[in-house]
Amino acid sequence: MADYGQTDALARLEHLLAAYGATPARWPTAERDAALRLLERSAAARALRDEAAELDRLLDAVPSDPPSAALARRVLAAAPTRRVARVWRRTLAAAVPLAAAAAVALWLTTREPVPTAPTSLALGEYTSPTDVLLEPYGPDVYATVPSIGCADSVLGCPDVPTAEPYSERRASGRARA
Amino acid sequence: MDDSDEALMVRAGIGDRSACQLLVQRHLGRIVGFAHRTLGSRSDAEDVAQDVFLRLWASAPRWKVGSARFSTWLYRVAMNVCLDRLAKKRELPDTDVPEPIDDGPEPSVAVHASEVARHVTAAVAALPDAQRIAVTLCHYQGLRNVEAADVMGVSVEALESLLARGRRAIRARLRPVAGALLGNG
Repeated sequence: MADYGQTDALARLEHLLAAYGATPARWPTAERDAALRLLERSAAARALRDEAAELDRLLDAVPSDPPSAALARRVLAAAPTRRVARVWRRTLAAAVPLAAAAAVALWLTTREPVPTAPTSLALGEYTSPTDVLLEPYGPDVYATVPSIGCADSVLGCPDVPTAEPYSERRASGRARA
Repeated sequence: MDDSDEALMVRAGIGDRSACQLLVQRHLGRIVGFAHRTLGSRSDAEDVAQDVFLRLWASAPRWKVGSARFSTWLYRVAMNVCLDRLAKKRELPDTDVPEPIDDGPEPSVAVHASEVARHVTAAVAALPDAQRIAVTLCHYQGLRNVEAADVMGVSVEALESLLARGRRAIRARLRPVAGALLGNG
C-alpha cells in the first residue's frame, strides 16, 4: 500500500481488514508494511482492526478435526502400486504409436485430393518429338489408317488415294539417290 | 531427495509408496477440512476427500514437474467435486444442507464452545457458494490471495470482493449473539 493520503490509506486498510481479517500475515505482502505503519499512528485504524479481530476469533472457534485413520487407510489403499504403474506405462507405450497411426490414417482419408488434369486432356496435349520431325512430310496415312477389313493386317493394305506417304517417299528417294 | 509436492506426484506415479504416504499426510486433512467447511457435513467431506485422492492417483502417472502448482491443482479438483455434490443435492427434494439456525440463545444463557462452533458453522454455511469457498480458502486453509484467486478462476479483486461480502454477511448473522459467543467462547 503506497503512502497516499491518510483518508485513502484508512479506506484501503478498511478494505483489507474486511477481506482478509486482522492478522497481518493474511494481508497481501505488498501492502502489509504500509498498513502496519498506519495502525501505529491511527486510532481509527486500530478500532477497525479490533472489529475485524472479533470476527476472526469467532471464525477460529470452529475446530477442524483431523481425518480419521480409517479414511487415510482407504485413501492409501487406492494409491498406485508399482504393478499398476507398470500397467499404466505399458498402456501409454502401446497407445502412443496406435494414436499416431490412427492420426495418419485419418489424415490420409480426409485430406483434399491433389488436383490433376483429366487423362484425355493430358493425352491431347502430349506431343511426341517424333511428330515434330515428321511434320514436314504430312500425315502418315499407312500408320494411321486402321486395318479393319484388311486382309493383311500386318503389312497394311488399304488402297488410299493420297499422295505417297512420307515413309515410302523417303524410301523411293533413297532408291533414286 | 526433492520432496516437494510436485516431485512426490511424479514418484507416486511410478508406484512409490512412501511418496503416496507423504502426500496423504500433507494434504488429506486439508482437503477434508476444506470440504467440511464447504459442504457442512463431515461424512460428505470424507467422501469428497476420497474422490479427490482417487483423481490424484489417476493423474499421478501423467504428472509432469512444472505443469501446474500442485496445491492449486488439488484445491481446484476438491472445489469442483464439492460444487458437483452441492448441485446434485440441490436437485434432490430432501437435502441435508445445514438448516438456518434461530437467532440463538438468549444472552443470559451460557454458550459453550460447541455452540459457538455451531453458530459460526451455520453462518458460514448460509453464504453463497463462491463467498463460502473464498472465506474457506483464505481464512481456514491459509491460501495467499493470488493462489485462492487462481483456484477459483477469478481475479484478485473479485476474490477480495467475495471475501469482504462473505465476512460482512457472517458478522451480520452472528451480531445478535456475538457478545455472548465471544464472552463465553
